[in-house]
Amino acid sequence: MTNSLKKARSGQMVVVSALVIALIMTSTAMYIYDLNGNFAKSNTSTLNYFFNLIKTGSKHAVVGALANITNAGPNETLSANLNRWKSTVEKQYLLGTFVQNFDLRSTTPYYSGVYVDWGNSGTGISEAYVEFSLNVSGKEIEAYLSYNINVSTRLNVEGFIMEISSGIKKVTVKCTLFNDGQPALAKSIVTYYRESTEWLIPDDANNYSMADYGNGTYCAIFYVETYASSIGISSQVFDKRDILVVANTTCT
Amino acid sequence: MVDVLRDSKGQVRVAEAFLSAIIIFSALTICSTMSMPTENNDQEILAVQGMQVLIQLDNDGTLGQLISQNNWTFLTESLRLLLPVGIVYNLTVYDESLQQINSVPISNGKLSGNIVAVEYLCVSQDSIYNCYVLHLQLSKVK
Repeated sequence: MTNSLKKARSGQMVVVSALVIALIMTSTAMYIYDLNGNFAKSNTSTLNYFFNLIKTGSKHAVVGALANITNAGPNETLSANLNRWKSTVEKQYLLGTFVQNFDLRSTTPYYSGVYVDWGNSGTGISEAYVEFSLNVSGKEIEAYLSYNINVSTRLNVEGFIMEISSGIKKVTVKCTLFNDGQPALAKSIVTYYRESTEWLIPDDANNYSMADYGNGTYCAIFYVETYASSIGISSQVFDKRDILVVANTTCT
Repeated sequence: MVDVLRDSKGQVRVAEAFLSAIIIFSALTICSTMSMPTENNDQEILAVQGMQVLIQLDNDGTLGQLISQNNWTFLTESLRLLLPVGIVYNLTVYDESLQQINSVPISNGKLSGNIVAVEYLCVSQDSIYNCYVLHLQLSKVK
């Protein structure tokens, strides 16, 4: 009787065992799958990279526009470039609807997102500030991102004169350049000095020399024949991004 | 009567074995479906690597500068150095109106097998605005 019962149940045991094995197999597979984190992450990572390239592209567009504006281009260049960038981005995004908006900072001292101050205080500023917002809506993704792009080139100029002999003065001009608040290297530096009403570039006749300290600090030394007690100095610097900044000061 | 019972028992056994086989087979099918993304995952990693290289090159404006200068040799070399060994790439550069710009192939070999495509938008830092659409195709060397 016991044997026949055992025999009768052995078939059910096969089914139960198969079920258990199947459960173990599927749960293990699910666990591994979960560990790999494959669940709908691909779209998110694609979007993250897309956001990243949009931010980089926006910054480059602002840099290019500021380079144009500081080289005598119109202030409208910034909005024109950003509109073209916006249109390209919106056209190229294929995972859904992508809307990019930008707002040029217009609070004082900015005008149409740009602030250029090349005054006589020894500091020159070329700066642009734009606020961006991105809106993405697609099949599986709804995302919003806002960020600011602030591109600035700042030049500090200070100088002093030393009388070497009667009517001969040694002029020392120190220029320090900053890109976005960090010391930066210059692409080119031209220093002018004022003689009566003219701005002149010191050359070999003035024993002109320029020292590059490699950390965004430059020191120009030249000699000028003058009896004046002060000399006007103007430094024009192009940074590596081709943004021009000018700073003026008076050496005493 | 006993024979009939034995016969039906045999049929039940066959049915049970069949059921067990179906269960195991279903589990195997589910497992194989789940392991499918490994290939997709490989492709995704390849795409991410391609995207990272382009972002790296573009971060300081080098990418836009190389394209503006039509410096395809340097661009080819940069991609070859930055991408891991064993990855074949082919880059095509288009302008805003999707006209191909690169006059020579920017590639390190012939693509084969599963090809992954990455699209990238690049703005140059030039004072004259230029935007480029980059189409990077990648595959693993087999």
